[in-house]
Amino acid sequence: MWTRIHLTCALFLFALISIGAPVAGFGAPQPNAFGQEKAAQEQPAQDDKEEPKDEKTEEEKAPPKPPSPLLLELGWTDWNVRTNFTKFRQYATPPRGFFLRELRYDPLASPQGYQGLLSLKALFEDDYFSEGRFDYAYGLTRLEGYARRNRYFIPTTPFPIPLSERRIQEGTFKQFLSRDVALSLRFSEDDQTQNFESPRPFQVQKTRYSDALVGGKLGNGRIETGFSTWRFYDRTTVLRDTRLDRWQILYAWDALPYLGVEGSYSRFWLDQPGAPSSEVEALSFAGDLAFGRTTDLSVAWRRTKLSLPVVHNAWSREQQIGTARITQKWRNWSLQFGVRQREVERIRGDQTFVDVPRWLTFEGRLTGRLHKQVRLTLRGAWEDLQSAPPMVTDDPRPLFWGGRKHAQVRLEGGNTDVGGYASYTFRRWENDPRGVRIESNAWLVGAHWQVTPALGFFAEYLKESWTGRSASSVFPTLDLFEPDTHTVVIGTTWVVDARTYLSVQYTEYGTANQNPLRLPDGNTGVRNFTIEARYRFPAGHEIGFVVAPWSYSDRIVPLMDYHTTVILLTGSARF
Amino acid sequence: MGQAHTRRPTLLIFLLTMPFVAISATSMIDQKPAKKPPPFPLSLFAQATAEDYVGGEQCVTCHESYAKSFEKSPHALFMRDPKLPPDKQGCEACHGPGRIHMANLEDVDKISDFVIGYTKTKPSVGSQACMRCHADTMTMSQWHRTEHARADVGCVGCHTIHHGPGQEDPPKDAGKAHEKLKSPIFVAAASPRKLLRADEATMCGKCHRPEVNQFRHNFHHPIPEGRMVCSSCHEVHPTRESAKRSTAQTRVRSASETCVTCHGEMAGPFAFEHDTGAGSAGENCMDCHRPHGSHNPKLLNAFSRGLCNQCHTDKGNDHFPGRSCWTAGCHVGIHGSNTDPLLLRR
Repeated sequence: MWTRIHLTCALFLFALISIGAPVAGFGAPQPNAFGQEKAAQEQPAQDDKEEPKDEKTEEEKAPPKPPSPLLLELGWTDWNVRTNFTKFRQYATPPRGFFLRELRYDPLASPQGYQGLLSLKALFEDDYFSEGRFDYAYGLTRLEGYARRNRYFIPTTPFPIPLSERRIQEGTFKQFLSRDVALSLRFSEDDQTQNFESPRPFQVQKTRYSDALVGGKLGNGRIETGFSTWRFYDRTTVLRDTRLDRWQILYAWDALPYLGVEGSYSRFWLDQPGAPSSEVEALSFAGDLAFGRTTDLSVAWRRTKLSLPVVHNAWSREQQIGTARITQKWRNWSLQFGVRQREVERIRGDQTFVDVPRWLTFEGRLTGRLHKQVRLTLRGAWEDLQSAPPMVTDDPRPLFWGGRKHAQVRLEGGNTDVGGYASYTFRRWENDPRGVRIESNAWLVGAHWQVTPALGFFAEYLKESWTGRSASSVFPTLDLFEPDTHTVVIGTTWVVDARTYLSVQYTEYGTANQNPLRLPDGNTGVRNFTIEARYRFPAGHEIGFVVAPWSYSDRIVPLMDYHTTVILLTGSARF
Repeated sequence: MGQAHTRRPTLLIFLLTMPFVAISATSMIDQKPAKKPPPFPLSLFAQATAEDYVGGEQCVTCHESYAKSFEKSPHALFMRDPKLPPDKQGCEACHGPGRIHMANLEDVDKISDFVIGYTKTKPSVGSQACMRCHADTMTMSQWHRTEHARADVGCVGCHTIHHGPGQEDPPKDAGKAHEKLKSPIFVAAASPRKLLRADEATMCGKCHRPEVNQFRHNFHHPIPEGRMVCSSCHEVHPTRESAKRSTAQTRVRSASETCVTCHGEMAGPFAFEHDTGAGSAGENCMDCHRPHGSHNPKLLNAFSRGLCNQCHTDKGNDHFPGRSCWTAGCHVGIHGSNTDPLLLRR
């Protein structure tokens, strides 16, 4: 019902503007502003031009036929779900029964200078998501509206739980005050109702955001300033309502063709009922200097000061982050090296002392072509924590990661007919005082083969393995909670002729989890088989047919399983 | 309140770097660059006279198909006003003055020096031409600092100029028909917007393959279902979307700024904070969560109580042998609590 009302309003507004604009001159172009008269004088006289030879027929000279602005897509779906219904609807993928896939009115820009888009999707659907969007531009004015609702489940249990819902609506108004200066206003609201497995209570919350921004050219740069408000409401009164006001100003200056500088300042005021007010102040600078065409240096620095009297345990009263990166290019290769340092003034949990943990990060990236059709990328990052703060708990050893490592190798090659790619990614997290080390290794390989211009195959395999180790050897150890996973995708596409298209895709996903507590969602397997066929008529109309036997299995808790054969029929027509 | 010895190496790095930048810049200023023409492609516009702009009708004689397709583009609305300056009209607004191009057609090797052809020029070159009009989206120096610029990905790597979304030409042969008809990576992915070449998952996935593959995991953010797009979280341009996110965050966190835009209940501040959520432990939300997808419920880094045991090694099996630390009804305020220092209540 909610969506119907808002989308009807959007439709009405769209129609009103479309009718009213040419008549009332709403948002009409302002042809004489911004030095356009001068521009018109500068325009070369058309009469002086040398006419090109034109030997085409009248038919060939006729303007191209514009595409049809109105698109209507309808569909019908049968789920054929067996066993766990809610698990299947966790992500609310397909609609059900007859549904409006999309109704879109997307006319070309008119000679009068207005342009619009109206799109409605899956109206009145109970599941899936309903969406409405309109976008209207006339001269120097632009209006955008958006509304969406979707319903879903959060199934952590095989037993039925109530439906969750999310509703979003947004509106934006933008007006160019001159060719280089614009004013924009925006409002958005996000309502969420979430139901969880017992004993966790349900959650009903709303966030509202609005802002007013003015931005434009100033000198050889751009200035932007604005005020925004963000509000959070918890309708269950468990969390405090929060109001955040912010004022900000930013100036990006292209000082020279090879030097750019940017500075910004923002201030926040944070209020919660029954709690002291908080404030945040942020100042940042960034710069970029190009040394010729091959070398580029970027630097950035940001400082944030916080005053959060509402917090009774540990919090950060100041944060600083500085980065410097240099990029060097030669021929087909590019080398990048960067250093980043972040430090935090952290007030201890008992609020008696200020620690200053500091993270130093080095990162590098080398990419280039080994061969005309083979590209290699190496990248890595090394982070170290210095002055880790002690904890005000039973065990004072630091809880922070003392080091993080990341390395990746990627190799891509081939052409449009045959190609492949492979990548290996390594990550490590370390906390030496507690003897913790977690590692992740991920291998990805994939390839495509275009046998003929009409027939192609593709395949992809991803394997992730995780290991964990800590000083504690009491069962169950940390490693037992670090499962591995694999994903396989195989498919083919066949363009039978210029209008008929067929694709088959198989996806397999599985986890290898020791799961010592025998919990659901730990040892799962997914097998999705999707067959799709489409035919496009000469007039641009299209029909589609999808058969998708999908299955999900949980080897520990079979009640979580679902098996389905989704059948989807669609038809789209352009008018 | 005591305070540890506070050094300022972050500021030090910045201060050490800035003089280097300033000196370099000053030396360049001393060379009086104002008298030098800007580099290509801006040099084409800087050196052109009004007579060098011959109008789009001349372009049609050789580039008919492109001219036709451009008429379907939303760009056409803004670029065919005859009262615009000639360097902002029609084909020449993006490709440069036509007379200079036509006068240098003979030398095939140098033809690209006199016209901006986006398929052959470097991304950084093409992007400079785009930003003649799109400075409100991004300035040139801002673009230089993006990861995409460093990886040689320009505007046209993601955006299509001659077509509007859903307004593609009808297929002419089987090979091209495949390009027009082929499915996106995820069947239900959101429709492309903002002149993007494809839906965001398909387009971003061409380079970011491991990340897109993670959305196939058992638990993921709903990008395959079309309820989110990559730019819902990732900031490609410093536009107002990023301004919204940095406003929604309440304590100027980094990654979590994005997360609390939708997960407002995690924003706080709380009377009793959890360090990982409060932004003082390193990676904020990503200390515990894998944002693209995970084989663990709630997009966690580890399964069940193993997540907490990664840091709280002293709270092993002897602390509580049951399910996850939060689902057992104990630490339900794991992101922060206003009532309990042990986060046992919200």
